[in-house]
Amino acid sequence: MLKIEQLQVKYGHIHAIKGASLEIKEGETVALLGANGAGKSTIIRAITGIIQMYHGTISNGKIYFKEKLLNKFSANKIVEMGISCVPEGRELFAELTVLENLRMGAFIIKDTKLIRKRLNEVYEIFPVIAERKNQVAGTLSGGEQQMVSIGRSLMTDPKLLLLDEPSLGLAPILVERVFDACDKLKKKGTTIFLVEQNANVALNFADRGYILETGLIKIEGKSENLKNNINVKKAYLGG
Amino acid sequence: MNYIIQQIVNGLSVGSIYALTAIGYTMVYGILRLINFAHGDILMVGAYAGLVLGLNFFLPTWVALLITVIVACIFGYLIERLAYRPLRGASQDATLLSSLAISLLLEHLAMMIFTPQPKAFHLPASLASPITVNGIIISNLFYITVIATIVLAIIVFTFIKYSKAGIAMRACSENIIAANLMGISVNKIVSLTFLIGAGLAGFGGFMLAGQYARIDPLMGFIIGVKAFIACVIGGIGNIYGAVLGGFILGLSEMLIVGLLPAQFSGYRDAFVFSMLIMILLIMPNGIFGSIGERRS
Repeated sequence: MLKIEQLQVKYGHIHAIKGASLEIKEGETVALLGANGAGKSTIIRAITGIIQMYHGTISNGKIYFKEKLLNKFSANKIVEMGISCVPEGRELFAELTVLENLRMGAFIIKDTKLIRKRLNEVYEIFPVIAERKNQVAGTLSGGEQQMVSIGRSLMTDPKLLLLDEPSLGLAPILVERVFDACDKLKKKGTTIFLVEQNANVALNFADRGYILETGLIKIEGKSENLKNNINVKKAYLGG
Repeated sequence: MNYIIQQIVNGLSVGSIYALTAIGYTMVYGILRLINFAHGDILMVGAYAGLVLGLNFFLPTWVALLITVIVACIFGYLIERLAYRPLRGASQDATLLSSLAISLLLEHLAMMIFTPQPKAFHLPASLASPITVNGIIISNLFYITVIATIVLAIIVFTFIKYSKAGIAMRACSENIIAANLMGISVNKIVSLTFLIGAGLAGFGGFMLAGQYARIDPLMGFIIGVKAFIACVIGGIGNIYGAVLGGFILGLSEMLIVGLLPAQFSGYRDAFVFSMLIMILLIMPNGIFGSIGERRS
């Protein structure tokens, strides 16, 4: 479904991604692991077409989504093609209400009935945010904000969901709750590309994983193989 | 007492113009973090269009007003397309200079085409001629200006609060990256913002021209600066603040000048700018202000 070939991304003179290739098949959940600064979020920014907003450019390589070259598409075209992103740090519209945030998630949808249907689906997955729909998003707790951020990205019923560090800054119990919700999506058949620093959580969740180190994919494999890999254990799973 | 009421009437009258102009200023700043120096000049361009294409042909006033607003919208849209959009992502200084260049370009073009001399801008007597009510000089244009400003402000507020495009404007203003990730076509939202802002400025320009019965190529400059001050008073980026700031500025300008001895009245603008400095010192974020960060 998504195929990245020899991707290279530069921020000015800084070579952040030096030739990364990876592939995600329909229905799969794939994790991208790596330390802080390895370039994980850069890959997400390249896929979603917002890399230039960070003053970066795709200097080489190709990103295909369903056989279509994504490189030159604008961010809103990419959303229309069925890719949705839960960005790192949630990036909610903090001064907008929860409902307004969700409505913005459905920006590309014109049919108001469909929007209402999707809203109800999101409320079903995250009952907490239904109770808080008229509250300003910035006043929610971190966990609730993450749920709004995920809910917002589900409004388009994406074919591919990109999750960038959903566990970041959350207490373990909330991480669990967020991943419980992601499990529901996985069971529904949504293709998920998960970017995580928290390798334990990510490998328990994903079918396969890639490990990114300083702009290069170093290791790849099935989750259970990665969990047993000595190097991975040492570097990412705490021994 | 009548004298003070007269000053309040005058203050509401100019305050309306500041408020109308300030809405566009603050909306553009909110989304692009751009101080659009050319915004005031759009008001001038609109007023000239209303005169040259409308009033000079003895068209009805409302047609001339419509022409003014449409031409202002076209200019607002084109300026964004040609002078700001190509610089999207460039440094803030680049767009600021670009807006300054557009402002000078419009002013000097107007001087070349229409000469720097003011031109008469006469609205029908039923609108513009002063009526004395209980010793206060007032015109029908005054009522129209103030009421239309309030009505237009309420329409804009409602649009921003409830419509999809309005929510998207607030979303873009708050987090442009997330807005892109939602599939919001930021360029369309920016164009819409410029259209609304320019249309309101054009409307204000027509009313201002009618009040003073004349227009000149530099009329937009000082209004633009004052509308900017109105935005700062209200908290830049906030449209409620812009409208409130416009009226506060207009009223205080007229009251300060009116209450001081006559020989100080020439210092009207000096008072305004002193006020700006004081506001920046005391409450740098303005009344409703929250935008602290810069965006490149």
